[in-house]
Amino acid sequence: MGFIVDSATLQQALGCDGECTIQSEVQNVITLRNVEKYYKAGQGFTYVLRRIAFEVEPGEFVTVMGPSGAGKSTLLSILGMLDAAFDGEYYFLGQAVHELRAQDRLKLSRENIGFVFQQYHLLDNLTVYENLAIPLSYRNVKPSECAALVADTLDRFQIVGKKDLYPNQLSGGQQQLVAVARAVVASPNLILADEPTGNLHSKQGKEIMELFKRLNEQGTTIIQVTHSEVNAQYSRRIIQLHDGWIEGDEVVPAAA
Amino acid sequence: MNSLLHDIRYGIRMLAKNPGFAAIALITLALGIGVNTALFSVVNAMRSRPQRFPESDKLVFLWQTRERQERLPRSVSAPDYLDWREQSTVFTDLALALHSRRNLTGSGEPERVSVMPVTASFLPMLGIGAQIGRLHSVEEDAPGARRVAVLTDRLWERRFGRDAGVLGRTVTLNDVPYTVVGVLPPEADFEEFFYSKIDLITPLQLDSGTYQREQRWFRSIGRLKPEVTVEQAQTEMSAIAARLAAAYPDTNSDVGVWVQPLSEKYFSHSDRLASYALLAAVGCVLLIACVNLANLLLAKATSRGREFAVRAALGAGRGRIVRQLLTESLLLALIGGVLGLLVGVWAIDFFAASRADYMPFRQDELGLQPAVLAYTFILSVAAALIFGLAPALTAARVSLNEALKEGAAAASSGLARNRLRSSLVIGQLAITLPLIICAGLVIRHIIALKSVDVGFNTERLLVMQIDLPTYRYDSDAARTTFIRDAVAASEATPGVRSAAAVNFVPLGFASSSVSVTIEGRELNKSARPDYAGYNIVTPDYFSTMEIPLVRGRFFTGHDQAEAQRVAIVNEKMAERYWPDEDAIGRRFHLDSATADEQWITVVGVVGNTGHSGLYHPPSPEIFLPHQQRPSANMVILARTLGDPNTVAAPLRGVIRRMDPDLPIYGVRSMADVLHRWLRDDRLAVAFLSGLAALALSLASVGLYGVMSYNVAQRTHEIGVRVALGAGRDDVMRLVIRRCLTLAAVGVLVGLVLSAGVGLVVESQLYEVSGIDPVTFIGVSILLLLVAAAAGYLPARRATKVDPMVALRYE
Repeated sequence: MGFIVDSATLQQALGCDGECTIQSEVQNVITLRNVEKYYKAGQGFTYVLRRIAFEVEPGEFVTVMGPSGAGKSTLLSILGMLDAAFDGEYYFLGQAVHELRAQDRLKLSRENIGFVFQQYHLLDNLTVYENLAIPLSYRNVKPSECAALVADTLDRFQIVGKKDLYPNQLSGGQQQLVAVARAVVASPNLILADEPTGNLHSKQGKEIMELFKRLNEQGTTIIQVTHSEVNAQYSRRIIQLHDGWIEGDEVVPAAA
Repeated sequence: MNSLLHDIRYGIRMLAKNPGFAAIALITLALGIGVNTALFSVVNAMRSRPQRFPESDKLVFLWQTRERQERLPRSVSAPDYLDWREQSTVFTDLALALHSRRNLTGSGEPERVSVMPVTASFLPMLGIGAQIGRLHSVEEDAPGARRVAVLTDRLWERRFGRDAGVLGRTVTLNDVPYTVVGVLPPEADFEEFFYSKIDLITPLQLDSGTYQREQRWFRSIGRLKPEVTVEQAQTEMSAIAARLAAAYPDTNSDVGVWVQPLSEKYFSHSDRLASYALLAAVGCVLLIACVNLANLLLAKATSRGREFAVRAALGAGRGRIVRQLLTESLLLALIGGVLGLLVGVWAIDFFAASRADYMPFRQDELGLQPAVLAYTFILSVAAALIFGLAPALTAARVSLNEALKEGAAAASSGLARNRLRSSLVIGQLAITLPLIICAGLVIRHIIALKSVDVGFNTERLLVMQIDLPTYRYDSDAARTTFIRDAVAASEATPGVRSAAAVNFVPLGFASSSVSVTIEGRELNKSARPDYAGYNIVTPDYFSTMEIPLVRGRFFTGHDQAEAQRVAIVNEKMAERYWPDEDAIGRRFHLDSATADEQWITVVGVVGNTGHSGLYHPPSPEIFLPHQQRPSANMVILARTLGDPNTVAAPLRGVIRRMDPDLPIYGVRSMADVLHRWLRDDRLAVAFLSGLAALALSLASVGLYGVMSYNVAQRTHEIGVRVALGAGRDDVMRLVIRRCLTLAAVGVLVGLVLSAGVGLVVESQLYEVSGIDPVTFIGVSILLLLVAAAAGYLPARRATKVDPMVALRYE
């Protein structure tokens, strides 16, 4: 069972009675304040996200859940800085993303965020090794360092033997494993995963979720979007979205 | 049959449904087929020119050559021709023609006309009859017979307004009356005989005593007997030449005979080579157009993948799908072919207009002949196969499973198509490069020619030819006086700064050279004589032409007929014949001079001039004063203050006042003279540049298409890359790099092809190497820039890829 956490509840739980402010010693990875996303539709607007506000601390493992059309993927794209057309405030590691120029936003996301997709999105005409090297190539990592990082990651994920294979020579689970490896190769502070096990059967899905869990335990902040209750239980916190609104923000009990 | 009709109907519907695609495809095809049709029409006209004459395969030209085995068309002497007539057995008939310019006077303004005296057998042998009246008879060709003339259509129209009453009238040529007995039809053209338009034909009235054996001025043709081959004729004529050489060693010792088939003269080996080269060049343009269409169709085949999958699922075999697609291509090509014919007709008209001054083809030879229509049809079908087959085969290799799966990208077949499309574009660029390089080389050739230092100032210079008839100006004094007065009167004309006269237009297409004997350098008989260009000038020639004096002096009024014989030579002459010494005071004499003529003393050395033509390096020239060599045929030169053409009329007036019966002709500015040298080259530049521009634009459109398709296909990949941190510049680089890689491979292959082509055309270029590095590098850079430009728009589009959209809708 989880419970709702908002600052008032937390203050109450800590016995501050509104007298004290909560001072976070570590800076939040993400702070969203009143984020809204809408499209023009005829005379009016169609809202995809409404007054979204939450914070994610370093080392958290957050799940975003909700029915189709709830705005989960839109939220993820805003968090991943792939979509800058929103209202409200978004702070990433203290930097005001909503005020950044495109170039700086790209730099910030490049240095801190790794993506994992439901469809894996490995590049068909590149080998496993080359797929892993792409994020590093965009971070101007020296070739020798790049080779070392890729080798290290291949080793960590135990896919050294597959490094010269092309994606279509791998099973779905293996492809997603490579996709996760690619997401972490540049040691991001945050991994954003969109339905990471959506295309996998349950055993492969479990392996990937165990992998996420281990990465989280090693300190990587993870935000995943999923429909799966089972996968959600790997995280420590679940944000429920419905029609663009946050309908719940629960902490998953540690026992789970 | 029914299913074929169905395919055709469906093909028409598909074209109507995609009007944009149909329009692009048809325009591309119309241009590609159009230029091919036009050029083939010209080649076909050249090829069919010999067929103007009846049984043309039996007609031959007979040339006298300087060496036995030589194969050069050199003129014939009349006494030799008479011997041929007597001794040969292989001809049914022989004919002889001469060309001369005469003054036509009498009714209207005096005119310098082109006259071709011929034997009575000449015109009938060529199958030419009279349009009105008759040709001259054998009797009228006899020496001493009454003088008759046959007009050509152009003179009949120009001078007599096509008045049929001209028959029986008298025309006066060099003060000799001729009775007009007939008019030739408009298609009678003798350009291949004397490279000149003919105005009148007169009987040659050949007499064995009239002409000397060494006077080789005539053209001879013959008709072979039906059973005789050209080789047999050659054997017999060579034997006759050997006999004449033995009989007349002074004039005929090394002289041979060359029997040249008329078809070879009218469509020579080099004409054939040039024609095939040009056909290959325009063929390349069509090929490039076809590659574009193949690429378009490949893209369409991809978007129609599901349609073919459904057809396959419903039982269509591979052959059936290929046939359907080929029917669509054929339909497109045939419509394109019809439009191409229209483009071709327009291009032929354009060509005819650009050659208005000399059109070597008859109306019925140039145009949409059956052979041209057949060629266009074959070309269209071939084009359909070239651009339709690969896309059809690729489309028919449909994977049901993958194509019918919703959202499946069929990545492997997509990659294969991409490879095919890329290879096609590389091929396109590789073919385009040699075309642009050829155009570039010819432009460099023209620039080289234009920058040739001709040794005199060509600006604001008017030339005007007058030939004093020797029957009126029959003394040296008369000629000297007239020319001196004409020059003085010209100089006094408002707008003229200075004037002079010379025997040949500098850089004109006629010049004369003489053999000379240099004092102290007398050669033995067997050595080749010393030659020099032969110029007769008035004293102010050098100052008017602005030719610098290097040493010595110019001519003066003291260099009169009775004074010491003097000459001015150019530097080349001084260097060659008096190396390491001063030419001034040295002496020579002309070998043609009479024995009692004095030695000629060099009094001045002037700078070299390109008298004999733009292509020729300076050669030795001698200049003699008109007072001492009073030539009747002179060119008045006027250096003007402004536009030379504005003084043409006043100058004509000046000469007309001096002698109303003197024809004045060839009045033009030196700029026009120069232009004639470059005319064919300019036409080549215009043609090749047009072709290269067409090829370049087609290739860049092709490259653009491939890159657009490439970007569309890689939307997903680009989305992933952006999600993984790729910035705008990274994406831009990705696309442009791909584009430039394709272009670079195309350029490399193209450079190899161009080197081959360049080495072939090198001999036609003036001081430009066939692998001219400036052209090769410049054109390569141009192509890469165009490629980058063609890739820019797709690259920009790629930077606008929304990663979330790309990733969601794979």
